Amino acid sequence: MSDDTNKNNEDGEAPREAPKTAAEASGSVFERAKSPTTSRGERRETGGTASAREIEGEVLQRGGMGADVPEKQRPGRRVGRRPLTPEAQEAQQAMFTRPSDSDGTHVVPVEAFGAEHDPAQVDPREDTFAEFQVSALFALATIAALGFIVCFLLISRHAAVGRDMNFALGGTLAASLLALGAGFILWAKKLLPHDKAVQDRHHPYSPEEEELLTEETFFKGVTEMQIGKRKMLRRTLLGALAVLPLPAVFLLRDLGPLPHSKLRHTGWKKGLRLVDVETKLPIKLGDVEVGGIVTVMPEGFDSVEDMALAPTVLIRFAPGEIRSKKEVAWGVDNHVAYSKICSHAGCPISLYEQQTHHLLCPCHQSTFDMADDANVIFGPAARRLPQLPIRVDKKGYFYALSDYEEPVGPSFWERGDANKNNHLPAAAEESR
Amino acid sequence: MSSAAEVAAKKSLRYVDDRFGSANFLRRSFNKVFPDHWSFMLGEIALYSFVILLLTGTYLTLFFHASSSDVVYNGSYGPLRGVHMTDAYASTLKLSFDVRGGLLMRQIHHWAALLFVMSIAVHMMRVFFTGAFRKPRTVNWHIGVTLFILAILEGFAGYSLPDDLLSGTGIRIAYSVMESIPVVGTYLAYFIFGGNYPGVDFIPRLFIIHVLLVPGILLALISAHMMILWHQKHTDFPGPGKTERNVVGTPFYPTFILKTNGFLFMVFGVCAALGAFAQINPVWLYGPYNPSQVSAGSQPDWYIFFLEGSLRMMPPFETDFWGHTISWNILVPGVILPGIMFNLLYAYPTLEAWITKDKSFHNLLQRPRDVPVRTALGVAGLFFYGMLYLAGQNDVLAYTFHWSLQATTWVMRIVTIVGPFIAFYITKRWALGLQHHDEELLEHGIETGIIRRLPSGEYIEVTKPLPEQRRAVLAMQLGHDLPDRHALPSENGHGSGDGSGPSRPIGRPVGMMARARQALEGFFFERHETPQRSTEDEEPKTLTRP
Repeated sequence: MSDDTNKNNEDGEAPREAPKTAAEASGSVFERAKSPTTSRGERRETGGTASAREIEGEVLQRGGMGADVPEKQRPGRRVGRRPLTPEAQEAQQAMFTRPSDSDGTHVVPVEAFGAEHDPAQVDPREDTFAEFQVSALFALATIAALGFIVCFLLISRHAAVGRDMNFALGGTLAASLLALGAGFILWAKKLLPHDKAVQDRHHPYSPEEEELLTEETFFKGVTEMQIGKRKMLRRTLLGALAVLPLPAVFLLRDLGPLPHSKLRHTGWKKGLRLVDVETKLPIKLGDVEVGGIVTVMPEGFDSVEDMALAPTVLIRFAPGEIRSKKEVAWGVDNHVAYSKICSHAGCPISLYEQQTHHLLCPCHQSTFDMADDANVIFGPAARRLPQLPIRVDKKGYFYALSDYEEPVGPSFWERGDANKNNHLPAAAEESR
Repeated sequence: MSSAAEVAAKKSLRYVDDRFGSANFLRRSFNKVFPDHWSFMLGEIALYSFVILLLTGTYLTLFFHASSSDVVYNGSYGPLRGVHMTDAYASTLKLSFDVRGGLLMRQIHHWAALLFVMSIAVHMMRVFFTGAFRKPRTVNWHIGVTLFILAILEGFAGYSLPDDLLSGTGIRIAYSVMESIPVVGTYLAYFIFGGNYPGVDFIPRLFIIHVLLVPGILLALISAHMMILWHQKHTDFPGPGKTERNVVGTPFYPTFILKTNGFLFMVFGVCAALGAFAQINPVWLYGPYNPSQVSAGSQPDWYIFFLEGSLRMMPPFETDFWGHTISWNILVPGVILPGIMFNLLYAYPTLEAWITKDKSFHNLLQRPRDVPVRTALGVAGLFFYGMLYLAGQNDVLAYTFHWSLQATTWVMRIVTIVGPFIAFYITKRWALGLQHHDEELLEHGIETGIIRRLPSGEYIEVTKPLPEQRRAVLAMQLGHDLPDRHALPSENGHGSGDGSGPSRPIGRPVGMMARARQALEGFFFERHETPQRSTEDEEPKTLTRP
């Protein structure tokens, strides 16, 4: 900062020149742009080109006021506009084709851009009305916000399970915000000048000498560090940088246990009874009607992990409906149990069509034919649902002969081709 | 303004300047010119919905418990009293029914989230179809794509938090998608979830991702996005008095600031009205999550539809080999396809610049018709995305229109593959037709409908020339901004370097990449007619590095 400007700061108020034109006095953007400074704070010559200087003098005198009219007598900013002089029009035209090189902004009447008239150039009565409109909106915003508080305090929070409260609070809040927003926009649209501002774009890239200097500085550093030459230093540094992230990887190790074979097992075990997922009561032969389907869990299920893979459906067919021999062998007395977890993305499959024996997953519409060993007949699932081998004990309760023979649910890398083990589990063979 | 207030304002300006030397910066900021066009407000909607999300989201964190521990609900919502549920779900119910205004904040938050992702998507389309992503704004496009992806992730994390039946199903599918990744998938899923699905660690982890990690990155990237925009100045459509070297519009202060603040409150107001009167995500109707249950017609929020659709349409492919399984039916639609889609979005500006050899700087926007191939590519991509989106609700469509679900899915599979090509062709012809029309307007003027017979007996159609200003703008739109293949810098041997006129490349391009590029260039530039280069312009048509 130069000494001059420092002095001005100490004085508190910088001595300002009296406005010479109406445009200057009105505090328009143009007026501010008239005293541009460089980035170092020095005063800069405005309007680098002749045309821009012309515009300062001619184009932007607004409201028919010349420099000779004292500021206080101005009747208001938006009362008509003197038509542009031919010279001013020419200057304006010149500005479009040859923009100024100053970093300032030039304000141009909206007519120059093809608009019929400037909506802000209205007579004073309309001006007052617009001000009234905006004030009314601001007042409405205040009232609605107060209304919010009143509703908050007066309405019972339990009325209609919070519905009334939600309507009242949301309605008043929305009214307040919308009124405030509309007020701001109306203010800008009706009460501010619609003049267009034209601003130069700075060059997208730096001057060449600047770029060269930067390159030079960069390579000077490289030379000083001698990264190219000092091989040992470079290699040890790279080694350190490569090894340093490893502790972070190890820190993440305890985010979870290793999968081991957990994905291959569910909560089912040999001898566990099938219990209804809702009532938690064991299911007896005859509890399920022909064509019926129940979601069952292993007896005593408790942990969340059991819940994830163990859900199973128990379906009862009419005699002779099951077409797969294996399915009959793994079931008991026209009852069969299949995993409820879709072999595609793991959703619990829940839509059963009694007539066709199709089980449909509501997530991605994989469809399984339950009468044909849960064969996939449609959709993105690539595998049958695993079957749970079941039997009935002496009291008539269903129990599992073993866990599922293959992993339940969606595929994973380590799963392998587990489908081929299509033999009855050893336990089932024994019980025959 | 009273003089006391004026003095106070002056004093504060001085106070700030004495400490930061900011007068010059402030003045230039006040004077910053913002061009006016309705489509420039799309990004503003995104910004303001983010502000709303931060405000309402902070409020929600004061009441939400990110915990999977089991509790028995005992609040004021009757139907669920006495039911076992996670603390996350119970606290969401408490927040909705026992905190005054809690439900409102939750609903505003959810609506604002939908609006956030939607406005980003539409804003991206605007930027794409007008070529606003071109140099020098390529990096800002990359930041924008990252913001889009993060917004989708953030939305998914957000609606998964309440642990209701619907969100639990979404997480279950996300777990399966992780599992499908070859080699590391199982471990990834186990580490992220802290064990087998669902586990008790996931909700607290998801919570911190949703309220700290992703919003932090979003905030940083949005700031960078805005700062770059501020620095580079906004693009604008061609118009009277507008050139590559200037911005025409309203100054930041006071006009733009008033308007944009008004717009912020309007966006907030609309979200508040939606939160008040339009119910969204009524988790109390879905019930607590239970891995053995799911409801029919489970639908995610709109921005997940395309993933859901690709999962639904994928045919059942799976490979078993050497004791390992690759689940193509999840890996392709859930990981590979979105990966390709987002990478194409990242790469497009670079690809286009490589094909067109366009190294110039662009500040003026193009109309979609001005670049038929880009527009057609965009529409084809949108068509593909739209089909995925529709397939995400194939069951609802089939149910509503009484179609067969299988037939619906099969038609969608075919249309998704074939449709984009048809969409590409139609769009390109359409754009070329519009170009043709514009060029006729420019050359012959407006048809008056009057046929005149000349003394010689010849009939002519009388046309009226366009107004001068309109002509100028049209010429600008049609000709000036397309990367002119003949005005290439001389070093590459493909042009005279001065843009003076046609000069065919000498010899065939060498190398496979070069030949591929040239073939693509021919494909990209097929257009109705080479624009006439106007000799009147004093300014160079594009800003190119010397």
